[in-house]
Amino acid sequence: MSFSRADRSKLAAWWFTVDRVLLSAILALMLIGLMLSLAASPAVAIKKNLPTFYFFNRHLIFSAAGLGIILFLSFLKPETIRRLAVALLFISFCTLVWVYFQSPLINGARRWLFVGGFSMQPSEIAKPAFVVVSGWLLAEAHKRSDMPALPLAIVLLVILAGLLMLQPDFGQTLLIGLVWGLMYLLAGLPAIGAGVLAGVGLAVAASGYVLFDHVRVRIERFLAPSPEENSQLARAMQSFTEGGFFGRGPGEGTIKTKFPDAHTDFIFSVVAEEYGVLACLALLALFGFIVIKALSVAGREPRGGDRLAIQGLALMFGLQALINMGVNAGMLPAKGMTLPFISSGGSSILAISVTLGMLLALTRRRADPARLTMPKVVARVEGFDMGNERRREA
Amino acid sequence: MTSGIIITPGLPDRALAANAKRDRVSEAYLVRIRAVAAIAGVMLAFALVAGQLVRLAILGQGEVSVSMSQPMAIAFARPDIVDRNGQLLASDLIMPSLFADPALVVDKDELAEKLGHVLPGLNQAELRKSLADRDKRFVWIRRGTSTRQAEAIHNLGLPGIEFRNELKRAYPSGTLAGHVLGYVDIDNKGIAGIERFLDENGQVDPVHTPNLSNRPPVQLSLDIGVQHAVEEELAAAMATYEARAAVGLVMDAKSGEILAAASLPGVDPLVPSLERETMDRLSGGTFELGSIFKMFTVAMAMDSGKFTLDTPVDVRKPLSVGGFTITDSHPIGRILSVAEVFRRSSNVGAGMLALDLGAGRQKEFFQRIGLTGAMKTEAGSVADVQLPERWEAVETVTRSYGHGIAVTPLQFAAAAASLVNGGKRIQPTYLRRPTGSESDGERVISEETSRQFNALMRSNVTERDGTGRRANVPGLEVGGKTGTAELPGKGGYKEKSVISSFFAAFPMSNPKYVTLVSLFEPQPIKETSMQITAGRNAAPVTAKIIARIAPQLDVMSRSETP
Repeated sequence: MSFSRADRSKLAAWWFTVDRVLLSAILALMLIGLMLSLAASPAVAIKKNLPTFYFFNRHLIFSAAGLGIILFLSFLKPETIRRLAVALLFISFCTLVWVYFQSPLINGARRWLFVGGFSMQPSEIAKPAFVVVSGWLLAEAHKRSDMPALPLAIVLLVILAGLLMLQPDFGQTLLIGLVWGLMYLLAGLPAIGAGVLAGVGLAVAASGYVLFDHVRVRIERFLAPSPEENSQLARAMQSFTEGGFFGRGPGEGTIKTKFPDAHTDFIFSVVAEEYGVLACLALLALFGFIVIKALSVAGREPRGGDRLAIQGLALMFGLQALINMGVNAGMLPAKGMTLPFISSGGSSILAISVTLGMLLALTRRRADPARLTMPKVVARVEGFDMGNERRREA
Repeated sequence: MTSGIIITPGLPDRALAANAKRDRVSEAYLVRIRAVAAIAGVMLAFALVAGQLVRLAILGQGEVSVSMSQPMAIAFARPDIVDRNGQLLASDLIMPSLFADPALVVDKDELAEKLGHVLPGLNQAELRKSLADRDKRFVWIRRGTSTRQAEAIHNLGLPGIEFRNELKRAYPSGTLAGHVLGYVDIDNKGIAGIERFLDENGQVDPVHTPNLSNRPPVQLSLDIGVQHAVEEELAAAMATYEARAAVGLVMDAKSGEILAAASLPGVDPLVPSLERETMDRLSGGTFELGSIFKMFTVAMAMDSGKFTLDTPVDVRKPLSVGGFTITDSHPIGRILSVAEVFRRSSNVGAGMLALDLGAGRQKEFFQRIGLTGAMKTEAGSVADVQLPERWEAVETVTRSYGHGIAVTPLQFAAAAASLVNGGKRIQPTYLRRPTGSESDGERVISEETSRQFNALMRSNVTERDGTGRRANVPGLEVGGKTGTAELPGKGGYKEKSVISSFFAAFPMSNPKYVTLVSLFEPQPIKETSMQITAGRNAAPVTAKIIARIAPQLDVMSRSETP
């Protein structure tokens, strides 16, 4: 694309302000995801007696929709993103409650909302909205003491964690708890507070573990995988040793025909077996690049709310990828977490699209007075403040 | 972005502002430090996962890569087998074998049908059945395809099938000497004949990859040219005399090296067969061989010193012994010499010689010459002699003309060879021995007896009254003995079903080679004047064989001096 600098259209403005490196990395990830879906999902589809390209076609459709979401969101202003996040959070809270009472039990959990022919996990959409809203609240808590922002943020965390626990979904609960905790620290709030909150969280979990049998069962099942899950994990690890650095070659993998989740939670193992650990490292590097690039961009964002939102979104995206890859590589117990854009699964792709769309919107360069810094070459003149005061007020 | 802050003393509100500034600075510092820490933490976490991935990949390299879908591929690399002149008889080829991974096969019906066009004889129904089990990850479709087939299959572009190179045994001479060479199984492991011998003697190397053996070729005593001549003549004889089967042997009289060993109908080393018709009659079946045994009786009599070739034997009356009466099929009606008993093949005469020498002597002679014990060659064990324990007068008489003892033609020929080679036992072998090797076996008859016996053998071909006169080949000094043995049937012997054999040696002045031809159930035909006796069929076949092979074996033809 090329635009004239004189072009004042919205599109041109978007093109000049959006973080094009991040955008390229995200698009690359989506394309790689589609490619790898072709490698893993046909075997699973055949095993499930579905049309061969059933999962791939869905991946393609959702990726296209996801791309639309990313582009659309990246056009929005930070304020609009914040309002949208509030609305999304409210809606997803309501649907989570609805899901708890109405959803059928699938694999021992109530997670799915069925709309038309599609199934959605409202918790997936709740995550980015929760991060943006929490980021804003935590920043406010830091800036203003006249508003009960911190208690509000804690309340939001408790509500979402509670709703997720009810499903039950311990993996997602841990993830949002972890991200929230990191955002709390990144907000510059006292570390002691974080310690207290973590202590309270652990105490609640412990008392639940001791007091309620069903909680104990669920936590134990989470920590100690069933023999079936264990053998899956062992087999997933084996695909890394068997694939070696260069893999067995496209189509030569065997794990994809063994795992019912080969196209979702265990796609990383499929990649390892067929394309080798070097390809896995490249994928890992791409995820790492996106996260670190976003975090370093966030470091230049002067507005606390936006900065925290960017950091939170990047961390959530990165942690989710890390946990998935860690599970595949046998470092963590099975969590049921997807690999962003690589795993099949509509809700996941759409939710990641929302996450990254918001990320792109927040990282856009803006002609914001708060962003103006004094050119370094200008000599400092005693008594003349060069706009520093103004920046602080913003 | 922290620009240098200059704190200037001045008004109180200025100081307040400065304090506020300091607070904010320390807070901003905290935020920045934590942001950097977050980036470092993320990097560390990614590095940890990356480290684990590399660790797993390195772990995998150390392992022997036995993957889930491939069975332990142990093949056997075999050395080449060549004949005594270095002609290739058996060799390993690297051939692609086709297998399927049912889990990756998309359309098993299409696969089976398309492969059926390329691979003749493919059992499509069975293939579909084995492909139906998707939990199986490995199914052989065809072991060893030609490169042309492999290319055609490759071009079909079907998913889920693959090739793996395997060692496959190939026999360039086809069915020639099939019984001797034996078989290998689907994994190239020897299961019969010389092939099995190679396995038992550590000549075969288990391999994980299809690499050809680097052992030197194994040289057999067989001469493929001689083998070919023998098989061709036997096949022709089977056709001419409408025989059911035929056996032929050419052996070095002194070293025991077998130059040709044939049993027709033959077998294809590529197609293991357990059918009765294609059994190896040379060394796998025992038969009563009949009058050909008179060689032993006469040689024993001569070696005893009690008889010479001119000693008269009264064969005018049938021989009555133990309630049985032995007659000659064509009674001569006069007293015969021992030589005439041999040439006219008189049962009565042979019986009288044996009775005169006694059962004990006959038994001892049979043992000495190697007709009673077990025998083994490199191609495997030879079938055991069938010799009932009872050895009274009746058995002595019947065994003197080859009944009441059933032996493999090979064991017979080995024993008979020691009569003509100067009198020493030999051990038949299929392995090449150094040129000029001679048996250092036990002496069975004196050299002088052997010399005289050879003259007798020769006279059986040259004299007008000799049964072997149709075996003569001008210039090659052929000598030999006929034998026509009735085959046992229900409740006695079958008159019209015989094994007709001819044992020969040449050149008789110093025999180099012995031959044995046996025709199983030859039919009476016009050319033999409706006879089925050995002199009419086995003898002329032997002449044809000797005429063909003598030039190959460098046996010079001599002008006859009558």
